[in-house]
Amino acid sequence: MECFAYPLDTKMLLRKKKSIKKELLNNEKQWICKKIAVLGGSTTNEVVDQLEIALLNHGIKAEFYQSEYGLYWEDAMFGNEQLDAFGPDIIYIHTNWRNITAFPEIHDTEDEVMQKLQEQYERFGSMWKKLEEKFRCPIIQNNFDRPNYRLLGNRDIWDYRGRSNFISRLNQKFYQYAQKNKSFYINDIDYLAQDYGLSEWGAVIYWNMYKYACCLNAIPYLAGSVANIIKSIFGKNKKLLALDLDNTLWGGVIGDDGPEGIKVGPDMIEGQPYYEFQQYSKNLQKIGVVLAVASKNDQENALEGLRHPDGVLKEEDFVSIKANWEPKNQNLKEIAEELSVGTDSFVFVDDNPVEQDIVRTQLPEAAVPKVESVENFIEVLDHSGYFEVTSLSTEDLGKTAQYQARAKAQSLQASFENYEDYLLSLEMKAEITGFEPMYVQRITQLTNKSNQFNLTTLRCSEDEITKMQESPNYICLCGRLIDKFSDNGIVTVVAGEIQGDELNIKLWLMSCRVLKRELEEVMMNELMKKAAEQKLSYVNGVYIPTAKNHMVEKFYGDMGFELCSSDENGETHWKMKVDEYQHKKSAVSV
Amino acid sequence: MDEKMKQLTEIFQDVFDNEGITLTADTKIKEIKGWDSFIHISLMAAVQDEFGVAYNIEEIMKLKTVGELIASIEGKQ
Repeated sequence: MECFAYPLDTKMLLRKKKSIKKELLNNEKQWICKKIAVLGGSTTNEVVDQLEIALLNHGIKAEFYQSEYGLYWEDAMFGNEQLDAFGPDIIYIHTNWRNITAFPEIHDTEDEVMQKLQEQYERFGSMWKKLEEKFRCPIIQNNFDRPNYRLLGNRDIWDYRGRSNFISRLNQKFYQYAQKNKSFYINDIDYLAQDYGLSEWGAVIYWNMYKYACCLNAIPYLAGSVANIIKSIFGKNKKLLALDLDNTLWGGVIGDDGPEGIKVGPDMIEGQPYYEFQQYSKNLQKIGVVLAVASKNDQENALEGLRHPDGVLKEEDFVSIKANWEPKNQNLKEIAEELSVGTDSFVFVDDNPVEQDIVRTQLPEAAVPKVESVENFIEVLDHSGYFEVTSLSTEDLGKTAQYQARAKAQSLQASFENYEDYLLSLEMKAEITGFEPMYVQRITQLTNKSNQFNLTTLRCSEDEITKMQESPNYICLCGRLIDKFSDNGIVTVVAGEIQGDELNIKLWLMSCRVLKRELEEVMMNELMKKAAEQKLSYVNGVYIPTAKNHMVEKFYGDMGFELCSSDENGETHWKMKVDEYQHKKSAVSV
Repeated sequence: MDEKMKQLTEIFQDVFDNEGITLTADTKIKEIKGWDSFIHISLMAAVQDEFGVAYNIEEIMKLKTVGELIASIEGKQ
């Protein structure tokens, strides 16, 4: 919805939140449903209202618990029946500098201030531990904004007696905790306040009259920031950045001006912003965003532009380059098909408002930031939070190489007599393990991202994955696939719950980048082996249809399972007697 | 006055999410169906935005009717 695009239409979001909510609820059909506990050190009503619609806009339908005004700490430390019964999937602790209970006094010694700092930190640290033990779910914690006054003026930030200094040190302690604890995320209100303008953010009337931590008009930004963290945790980040070329990656039109005439590079004034935008895009790629080109150009001209010696982005940085005269929405669709990803994971940047509009109307699921000209590309893209980083897995860091290896493997495929020969030529090897701690992050990511080869579409948090692994009643398997081109990393996840002498498969998914590699056969062999070891009689599978997982409708049937039941929604239940299972052949060795 | 009444009606309809709301100078803000203190905050913020005026705490506490609200806006503009 337009009002959520940066810069936010705060007027609309605040005034029409009720009708926005209704409209969003009418729109999308497949919601991710989550329970969110908001523990506030200030009034949270507007925060929750805005968070609710921001999450709906990301496809997440949330149910909320709100602590009574200011009782965040009591709720966490001493428990609260309502909160316990609620059982949150995410906890958001909305505190700000006004919730710090002791500040340095001007006569304090350095040691006394240190003592206060430690006490303030412990107040939060012990609360996080308590919540972690009890709920084992992700925690989002605000850092502290700065007060809108400085008693010591410029000295306030560096003198140990200054509040600004105290807050900055307390924040550092929070960050150290975040470094060490997965499932703990900082919502950076210190940045939000600065970005918004500290004086306006901290306008005292909102605290004095309503006990809001910041001014009302800033709340949609605050909520948007929290929503970005949450949607990222649940796998709703964008994945691909599709870029136009002329007047987007360089100044000028390559078809008219030629490679010497286009403007890019650090040495010329008009070329600088394009150069910086290329650098920014390149850095996005380094954190796992996949890049593509969608441009109205002749292919040869496009490549010529990318060979410009002062450019940062080169041909090999893109997984796909569509430079032709077809409509861009058409090209984006083709890119999506090539890479087996949905256009809902696309962000499209084009300087031309007409092209923006075409893609916005033809592919409403893709994000098209409202950019004007190169000077504000980075600002808009960065504030939009499309690629909010909540985890940096090793798979993310090597993603472009993997996509390219896949494209290469696809071209190799053409030269083989039959598919079986081709598969054998890949020299594939699988490593199958349980949900080892080092894989938990990746496994979680897969459960939240995989849509097509996913039998149950069960979305899980890291804590849920860890719980399965630790439970004696679960059989958990994940598989890494290595072929002669690349190590694809962990690409498939299977988990089943033992009930009596039967195993019920709760989770079975595979990344689309390794479809049709016969990896699922190997996983099934392994699962059946484990089931036999545990002396189980039956393994039961279920297929729960969604808009995207049609490809696995017949999965259990193909694996030799017997159909037990099916309902009007297309949900089917299957079973297999463990001692009748026939070992499956596969081109993948174990 | 009429112009402001029109703008205010629109704000009230948005915030209360009720297109049936009609206002007169005598309308007591707190007596509109669905009113609560959170709605009041949204209303006041919207009024300040829309008309480019700012209120201090005392002024906000004093405002009871739509007529008073309009008078206060006119006094500030």
